[in-house]
Amino acid sequence: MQKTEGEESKAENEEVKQVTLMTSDGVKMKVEISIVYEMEIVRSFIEVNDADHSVPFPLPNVSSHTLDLIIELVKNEYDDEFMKTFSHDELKEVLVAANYLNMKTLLDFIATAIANLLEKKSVEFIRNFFNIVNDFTPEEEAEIRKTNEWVFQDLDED
Amino acid sequence: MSDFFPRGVLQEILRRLPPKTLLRFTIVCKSWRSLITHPSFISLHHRNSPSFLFLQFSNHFILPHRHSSTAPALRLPSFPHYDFPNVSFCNGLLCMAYGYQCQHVIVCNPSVRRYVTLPAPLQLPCFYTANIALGFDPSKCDYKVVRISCMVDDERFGLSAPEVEVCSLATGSWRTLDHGIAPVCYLGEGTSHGFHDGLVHWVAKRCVAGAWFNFVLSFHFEGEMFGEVILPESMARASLDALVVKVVGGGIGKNLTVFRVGGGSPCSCDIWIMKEYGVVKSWNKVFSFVMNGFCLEAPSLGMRFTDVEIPPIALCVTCSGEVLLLMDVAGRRCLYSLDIEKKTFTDVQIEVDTGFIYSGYYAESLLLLNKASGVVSY
Repeated sequence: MQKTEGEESKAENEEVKQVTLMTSDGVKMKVEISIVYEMEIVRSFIEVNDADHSVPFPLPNVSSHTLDLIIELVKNEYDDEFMKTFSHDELKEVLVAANYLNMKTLLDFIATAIANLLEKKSVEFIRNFFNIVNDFTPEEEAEIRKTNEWVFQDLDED
Repeated sequence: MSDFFPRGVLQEILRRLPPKTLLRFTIVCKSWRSLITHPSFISLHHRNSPSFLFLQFSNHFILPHRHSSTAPALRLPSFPHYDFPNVSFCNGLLCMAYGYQCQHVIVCNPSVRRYVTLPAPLQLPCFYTANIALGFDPSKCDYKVVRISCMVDDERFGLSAPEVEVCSLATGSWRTLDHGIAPVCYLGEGTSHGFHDGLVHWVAKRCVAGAWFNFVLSFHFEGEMFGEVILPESMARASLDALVVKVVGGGIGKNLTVFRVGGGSPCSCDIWIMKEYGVVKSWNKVFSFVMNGFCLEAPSLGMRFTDVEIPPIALCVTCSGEVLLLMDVAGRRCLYSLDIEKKTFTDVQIEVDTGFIYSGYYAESLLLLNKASGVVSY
């Protein structure tokens, strides 16, 4: 009986334990510590400094919108269906944030998802997706295309 | 490159893509091209690329253990004047040698459809036959092809040591190793080989006091040294009635495995495994088929096939430890997977329209993509 109570109170304690994060757009967000612990960059700071969790930890490279998406992804245990609702910009923002926050599982999940999305896409789709300006001359591009003609076949519709 | 996307993050995406896609993405922009063709990215990509069982027959390729449903379009270059090459695999490269003396040798990466032709090896008199194998030297991070040529003329047959040459991909030239580095033996033309721990193995034979004995000859690519593994007595005696003795293993990290087909009728087809490498006592006959007329029996499985014209041919040991066999049942040539521990023998539903088949482990990679000279696209 006593043991059960002990476990419950411990669970309650963990549940309320939150860390305040300050996003790039100045929003203070309280995030469960279990999620924060996936962010190596924050975790290492908290662990070393035993910091007061009410002082916001600044994340100058992550917007509140991106952080919301990350929290939802982690809460949903990296649900493919949920991620499919993301726009291209959201996918890229989450990837860059996952890399900055050093979230290994999220980085692997999102990089794999983007790789799957791009695998059968045309070069034009890729340039568009990443906002890349083509710096090849038309002659250079035609030459490379000619040598490797077979890789431009069997693509998805953009 | 787009303004906010760090190179490291981009690599996280690109290293997960197959070579065909990456080759297409080399024309996205110049910085992508330099990233994808950079040696450090090629090796990062290679380290992350899983190995698949690769089968080739009639110029078709399949990777039957691949997770995705569609096999990648792997194609080899074709040389109209040559058929039936001697094929050897290592990581993401294939080495194909043509002719009974393996005079014409190419190293090919079908994932990016690139190959290099090696310079001509030693010119040998017509009474030599040759054999080749491709392997990796981790100390030099380089691929090497070894060519072993044996004299087959009537008088000196089996009495001389083979001539051995090595060609490394980085230097692109052949080096002849000292005569006598390989023991006196005979290695037949087209003898199949098996890998185990960076060593390549063949079943070779030698004449001792007028009698022929089989043994396993090994070559270590890093040290460029030969070694020998003794076979159990029933296989070492190269009696006239043994049709086939070949090394089929092992798959990745598997034990040295030898397949033997006896002659006569009934004949037995045995699979032997050396549990502890180099320890002769650890040879163990783990499986036997019995072929009686046109009937093939597997007593330990309680299975029986009728209308079998030729004994099964063991191709390789898969990384999950199964032995892949080519069977000819009722006029249909197909592949079976034998799991000795679980005692299952399964038709893997791949029909083969020719007797000429190779198998091995292959990883899709970008190798040869950044090699500047001598590379041919096809």
